[in-house]
Amino acid sequence: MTDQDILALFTKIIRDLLSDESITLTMRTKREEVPNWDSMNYINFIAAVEIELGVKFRVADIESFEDVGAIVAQTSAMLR
Amino acid sequence: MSSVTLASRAFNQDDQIFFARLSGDFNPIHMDPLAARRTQAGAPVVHGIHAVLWALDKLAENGMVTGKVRGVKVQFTKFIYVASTVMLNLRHRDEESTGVLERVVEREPAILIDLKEAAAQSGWIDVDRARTRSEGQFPHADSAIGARRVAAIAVLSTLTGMVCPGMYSLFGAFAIDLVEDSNHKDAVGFSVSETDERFRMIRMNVSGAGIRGSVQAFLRWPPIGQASFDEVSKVVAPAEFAGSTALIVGGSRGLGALTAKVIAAGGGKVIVTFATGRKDAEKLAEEICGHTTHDACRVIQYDVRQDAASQLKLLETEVSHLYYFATTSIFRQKDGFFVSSLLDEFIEIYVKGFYDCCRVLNKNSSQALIAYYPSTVAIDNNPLSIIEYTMAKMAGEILCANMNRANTRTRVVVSRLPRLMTDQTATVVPATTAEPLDVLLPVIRQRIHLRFCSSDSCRIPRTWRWFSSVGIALADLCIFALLRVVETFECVDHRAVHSDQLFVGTRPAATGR
Repeated sequence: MTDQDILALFTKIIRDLLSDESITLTMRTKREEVPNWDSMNYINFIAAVEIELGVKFRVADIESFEDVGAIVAQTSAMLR
Repeated sequence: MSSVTLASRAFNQDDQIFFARLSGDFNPIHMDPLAARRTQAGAPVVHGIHAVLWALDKLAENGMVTGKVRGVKVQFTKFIYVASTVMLNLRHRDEESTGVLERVVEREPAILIDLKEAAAQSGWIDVDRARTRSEGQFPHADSAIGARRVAAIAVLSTLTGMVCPGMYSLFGAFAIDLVEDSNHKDAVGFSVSETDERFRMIRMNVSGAGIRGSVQAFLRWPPIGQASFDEVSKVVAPAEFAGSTALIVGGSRGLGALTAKVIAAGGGKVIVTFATGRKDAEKLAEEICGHTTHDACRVIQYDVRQDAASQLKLLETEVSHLYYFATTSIFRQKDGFFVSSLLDEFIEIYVKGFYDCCRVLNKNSSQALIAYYPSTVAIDNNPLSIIEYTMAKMAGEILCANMNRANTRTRVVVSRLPRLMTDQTATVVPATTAEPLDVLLPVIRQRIHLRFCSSDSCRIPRTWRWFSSVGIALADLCIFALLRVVETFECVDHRAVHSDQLFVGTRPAATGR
């Protein structure tokens, strides 16, 4: 799975979660730039990614992700 | 993808009571404005399941939910506040149609605090009562999926709000299949299948009364308590703030309550104000007076959005220090990135309310006032989700800077506080927060009360006080000189030219920047 595949999956998950088909994530997207992607939906997003890809993030990672690219990179590392 | 609004409504207080009685979910987050104010929601929220059943009923009324429906999957992504409008939008996605609740801008519960305790939970929730009371309330949903299943869905609210996790819960999601069960017991069985410490999340299997599936809930934090008077007393000298009388606006809880304990532990007198939380304020006064003297802490009601003069005439004493912790719910659900009415609301509290309070205190006092204005590192970070709050606090900083310049007999001390653990910041998501006492005490001690502390009762030696004063004066001069240099070289960094750095003369050591 390439980073672009992971990014596309993230976009699909967040669109479903927020019922907003206009969202397109990029590697540089920050959570606060996406309307309604609040702390609760951040958890929902992480939980959905974990179920979809069978990975598990550490608390320290969840706290420190600065943008979507960082989540993609960590996910990619866990899938390798 | 097209979207059609199928129905809309608002849930009022009567609806809250109706559904609590129907389902048995009397969790205070739905029923008690004072208790709800100390949750992440900040105000009473509609039972999520009530909204789901309303949506199901409307979908059934329009023929979109029929007896052929095999399951229901719901994710609660936002709070629905009482009296806010909810719209049921129907979206056509490819071949499939889905009903989406939009603008979800939208007895005593069990108290489980520990996930390990939650992990062992299982049992049955009776649906009889919900079935009786929901009769005729969701007629179309009853026809489509059966009254027994409607009642079973209703009691999922009771499961999370009253049983597991109970009092400190947030309903996250549920996914159920509609099944023909051979067991005719009118109850939904549940058992915890998974707990996740990272998110304080609980997953439960549910089965019975025609439904089978899973429920996801979160264990939210109980109201955040600050350090006790005893703990504060260990780090504050008994007469450190003697002779001062501090008005602590918004002092009934959080940082205001902590400040009240600090000043009182140091021998000062405090007047704590509350807008709605009388019980919290009285409990605080009881704690302080129990350790000091009966007049060390007084409580008055003061709403910064109302006329300051008429409310503050009840003070009957001169105030030497003002701590302005008045606040409202900061993290709001919004449509769009900027909501001008929200900015107005914040400006009223963080700008107008502060100025009015200072003006009235000055008018009624023979001495100059020292006021503390807690600003925020959000001004540095500028998160998009709270720009109205950040803008209002920035306006507040500008006001403070100009109050100092304009010689208003008020010396304002401003510091940008980092994220501290309070009711407002206690999110489910793990977040790093600083210890409030560690952050506030240096600000109070070194920047607000130091110059004031000149009476003989002060335990700080006179010589040390003299050196401190000289040190601060020199720091003022250095920063003033530095600013002139900055201006000379036209190096435009406005962050260095505003608020307390300029007017008080010491860097905010405790801002965490």
